[in-house]
Amino acid sequence: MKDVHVHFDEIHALRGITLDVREGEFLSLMGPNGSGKTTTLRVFAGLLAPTEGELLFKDTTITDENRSVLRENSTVVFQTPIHFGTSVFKNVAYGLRIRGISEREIERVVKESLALVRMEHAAERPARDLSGGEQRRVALARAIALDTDILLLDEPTADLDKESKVIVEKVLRNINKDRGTTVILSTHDVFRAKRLADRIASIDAGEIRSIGPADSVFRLELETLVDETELRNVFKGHGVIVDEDGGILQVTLENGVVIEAVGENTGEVTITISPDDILVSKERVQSSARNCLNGRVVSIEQDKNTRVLHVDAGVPINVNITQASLDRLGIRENDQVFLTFKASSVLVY
Amino acid sequence: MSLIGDLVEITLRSLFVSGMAAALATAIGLPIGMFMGLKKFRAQHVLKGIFNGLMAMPTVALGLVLYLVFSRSGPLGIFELLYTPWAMVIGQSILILPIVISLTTETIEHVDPKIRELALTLGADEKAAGAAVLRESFGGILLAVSAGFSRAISELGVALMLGGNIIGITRVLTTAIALETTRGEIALGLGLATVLLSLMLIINMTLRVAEKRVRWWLWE
Repeated sequence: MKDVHVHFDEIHALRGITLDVREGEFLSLMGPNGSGKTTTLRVFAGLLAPTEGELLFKDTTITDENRSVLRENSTVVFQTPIHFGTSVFKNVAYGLRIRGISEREIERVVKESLALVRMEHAAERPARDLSGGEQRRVALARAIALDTDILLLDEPTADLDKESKVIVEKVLRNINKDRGTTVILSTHDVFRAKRLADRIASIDAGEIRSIGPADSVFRLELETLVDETELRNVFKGHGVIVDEDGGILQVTLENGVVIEAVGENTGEVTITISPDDILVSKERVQSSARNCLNGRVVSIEQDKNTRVLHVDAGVPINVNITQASLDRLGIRENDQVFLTFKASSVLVY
Repeated sequence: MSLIGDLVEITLRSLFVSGMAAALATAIGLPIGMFMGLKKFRAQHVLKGIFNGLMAMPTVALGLVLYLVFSRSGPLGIFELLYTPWAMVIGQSILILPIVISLTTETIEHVDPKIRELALTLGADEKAAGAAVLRESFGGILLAVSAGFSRAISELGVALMLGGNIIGITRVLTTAIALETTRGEIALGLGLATVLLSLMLIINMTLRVAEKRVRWWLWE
C-alpha cells in the first residue's frame, strides 16, 4: 500500500497509509475501534478500491481491471461471521467448488479444515444454527481450506469464549508457520497482537502511528495505553528471579500479592495481565498455570458483547468473560472466585 | 356430467390456467426482478414505484383493456384468443407480473450484502456471486411466485371478461362461484369457495414445506 486514502462521503477513513507486507509474515493491524483497521483489510482483500494512492501485489499495480487478483490470492474472515444458508460442510466446500476441485479432494480438504478448528462433528449442521464461537471457527475453516497465499482476519477472536480463542490462535500460528501463509490480522488487543504477530502496525484515526517488530511496537503501545489509562490490570511491584532456567520472575506487588511472570527484569517493575487470559472458576482448578488468586467479585460490568468481572484479589483485577460462560458458572456479585493464569500471560516491562 | 365431475373439471382448469399464468409471469418477471435487485441503474426507483403500484391493478380494468385488445376488431383479434383459456392465462400473467417483479426485487435487495462479498472473497466471479445471492433469496422468490399464483387463482375480473365463463371451456372456480351465487345456489357457491380456499392453502403450505429442502439442494 502506498499513500492509500479512502473516503466514505464525508468520512476520511484512511489518511495516507503506506504499508509493506512481507511474504509469509504475520502482521497485526492494531488500533481502537474505528481506527481504520477493517477498511485497510478490505482494501487488501480487493473489496474496496482506494480513493487515492497505489496498491501493489507482487510488483503489479492493482487497478479496477485486475482487482480480482487480490480476491484469488487472499481470503477474508469477517469480524461478524457470515454463512450461506446451508450446511457447515457446503459452506467450507463453496470456495473449493468454485475453483473446480474434484469432489473427492473437496471432501478430504473440508474434513481436514474442520478438524483443525475442532468442528468436524458439525459438518452436516446448518451453519447459521451454530453458536457465535462455532460460527467463527467454521468461517476460519472455510478460509484455510482454500490455502491462499494471504489470510486476512478482522478481529477473529473478539467476543469468543476462551476455548474458541485458544483454538483460533493456535490454528493461525500453525497456518503461518507450517504453510507459510501471510497472515494479516486486525485486533484492538495489544496482548494478542504481541502474542501472535511478527510485526505490528498500530493504526489510529486512519493513519499508521507506529510499525515495527511486535516486541518494540508492543512496548511503545503499552506505554501509551498506560498513559491513557486504557489498559486494565497494570500493577507496580518488585521482581526477583526464582527460576533462571525457566525465566520465571516472582513479582511482589505493593500490597503483598505475589504474581509469577516470565521475564528477566528485576527490581522495580510494572506488570500487566491480559483480562482475556484469566480463567475464572468457583473452585480451584488443577492446572499447570503458576498463578491462582482467590478473590471476591465486586461488580460485573457489560462491555459490548462481553462482561467484565471486577474482582478484589488483594489487588483489583479485571477479567473478560462471555455471558454464556458467566451463566454456565453461575457467578454473581460478592461470590468468591479463583483466578488462574499462566506466568506467560503476565507481561513485565 | 355429475356435480363431482364438474367440480373436478373446473378445479383442474383453474389450476391449469393460473398455474400457466404463474409460470409465464415467473419466466418473464424473475429475470427482470433479478436485474432490478442486483444492479443499480438510472430510473430504478421510478420503475420500482410503477411495478409496486401495478401490484394493486384492478382486475376488471385490466380485463376490459385486454378484452378490447383481444376482441375481433382489436389489435390482436386475428389470433381469436377471446373466450379461450389462453386469453385467461395471458390476462392473469399480466395481472401478477408486477407482484413477481416487485417481490423478487425486494427480496434480492434485502439479502445481506455481505453474502455477495463472502462469495467474492472465496473466489467467485460476479456471476457466481450473483448466483449465491439468488440462492439466499430463494425463500422470497418462492413467496413471490406463490403470491402471484394465489392472486391469479382467486381473481374474477380477468377470468370473467376474457374467458366468458363458458361451461366446459373457460369456467373456473371464481367464475363458477359468481354464477352460482347470482343463481341463488348459495350452498354450491360456498362449497366451491371452500374448494378454492383449501386449494390455495394446500399449495402454499406445500411450497413452504418444500422450500427448506429445495434451498438445501440448491447449494449442492
